[in-house]
Amino acid sequence: MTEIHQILVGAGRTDAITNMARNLRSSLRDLGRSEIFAQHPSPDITDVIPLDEFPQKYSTKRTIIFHASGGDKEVHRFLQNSSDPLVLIFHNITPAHYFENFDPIRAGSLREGWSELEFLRSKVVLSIADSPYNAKGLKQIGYKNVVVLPLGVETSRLQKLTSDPAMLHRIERETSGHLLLYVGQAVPHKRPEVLIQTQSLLTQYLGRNTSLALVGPPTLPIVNDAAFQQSQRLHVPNCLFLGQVSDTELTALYQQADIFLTASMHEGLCIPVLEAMAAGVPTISRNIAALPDTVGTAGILLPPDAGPELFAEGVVELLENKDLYKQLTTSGKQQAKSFCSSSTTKTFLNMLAELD
Amino acid sequence: MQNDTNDLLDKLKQNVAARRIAGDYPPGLEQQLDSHYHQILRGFDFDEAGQGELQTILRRLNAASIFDAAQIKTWSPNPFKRILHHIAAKLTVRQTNGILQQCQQHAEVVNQVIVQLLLLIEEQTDNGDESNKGPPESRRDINRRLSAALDRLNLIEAKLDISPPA
Repeated sequence: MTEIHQILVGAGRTDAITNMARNLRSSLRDLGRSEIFAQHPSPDITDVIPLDEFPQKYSTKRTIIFHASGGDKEVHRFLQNSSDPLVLIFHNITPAHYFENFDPIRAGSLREGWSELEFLRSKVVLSIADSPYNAKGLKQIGYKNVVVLPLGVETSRLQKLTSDPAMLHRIERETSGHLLLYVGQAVPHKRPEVLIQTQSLLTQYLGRNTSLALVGPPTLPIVNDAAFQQSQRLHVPNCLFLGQVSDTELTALYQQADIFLTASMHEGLCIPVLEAMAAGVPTISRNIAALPDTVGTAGILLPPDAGPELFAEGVVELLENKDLYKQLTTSGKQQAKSFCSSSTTKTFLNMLAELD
Repeated sequence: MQNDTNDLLDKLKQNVAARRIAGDYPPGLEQQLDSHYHQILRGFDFDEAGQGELQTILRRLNAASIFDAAQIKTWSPNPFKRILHHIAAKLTVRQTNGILQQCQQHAEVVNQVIVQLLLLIEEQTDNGDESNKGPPESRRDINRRLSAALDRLNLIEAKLDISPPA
């Protein structure tokens, strides 16, 4: 019997990489036994098994797929000691310097993540990167024959859900005008403060009627707290800090959003941008890291050093230029579709078969 | 398509420049907003960074506050001088110990003063809430988050106050 198991460092209910692993698992189960193991699974999920319960080998053929997105000594030790063929799926590791002043421990583990990847190189039999940018990162640390495959991406997953009525009601009650949406973790490199400043310019300097909803887990609470404080001290109207939301709530938000905004400085792929495009919401982001790979020509890509003035101008342009809005809505949907997982999964399964 | 993108970016940049000239945006607005945000961040960080540094200095002070005659070197590469140092140390042992004892007593008092000052600073940072028993770092974090949560609650309450009756 064949076993193909996936290993993650952390796993969460709405975490993008965990969702990618879940999508991949359903295809891998066609080939044999397949589970997801994580060193730090969130307590509220039941479909991911703690890594210390990884089973003893009893089948003749077992493959391990490691989703690399950060450093962890235990996971690294496990992978080093494993005799099973190792497939690497690289989602990128955030450069440590973004965390240095906020969370030195996390910064250290991110640095370790890169060096662990270098150590694993000789054990890896197949290297997959989910964007050309990530492939470049792997090649820079000596990986060869890196294949670009955005595996397990299901951009239309939210379209299958019904919007949460409570969230729809809340949006109606607590926002006014055009809704700008950001979805992502509260971490320093996502730069949520730039979005607050953009909302300030739009409403307080340009007299626009917009609302800004920020969605995502408070991974580093100080980042959201400081952005919130700034919105308070500047009296920026209509800023909604929603924290982590359920998938049905997120569906409601994408349904109501007029524009998706992110000022992120580093992304390995950026699933929220894909989900926004799939929902027909035009996106504004920076032309940096993997964002140009993900957005293509289907969204507004501002220069990497763009500040709130340029972000605000992008919003104004999209709201006033109906043709551009329509064009980006259509091309965004197509772009999101191109990341559809069925064809890439088939390619990946063929590659796994060739490993024999 | 690349040309379209470049044209759009040029247009956006021109619009920003036009707004600056028209006075929609005051000069240096982005820098002001950015420094305002960093000022807020520094406010969040100040206590931890400052106190972390103080704690380190205090540990170094503690380590340096052990006065002992044995730490006074009497060794010399010259055997004659070595004997001389030993004799001088033995002859002045009572005086040396007397001085060291006074230094030790002074250092202990200085240490106590610094510890009290540090506690006062921590207490002020924690808004004097003595009910918090957790480690200082998490206490500060909880206080920060509580204050942010209270601000959010106030905002919601203010919104509810101005909402028309159902």
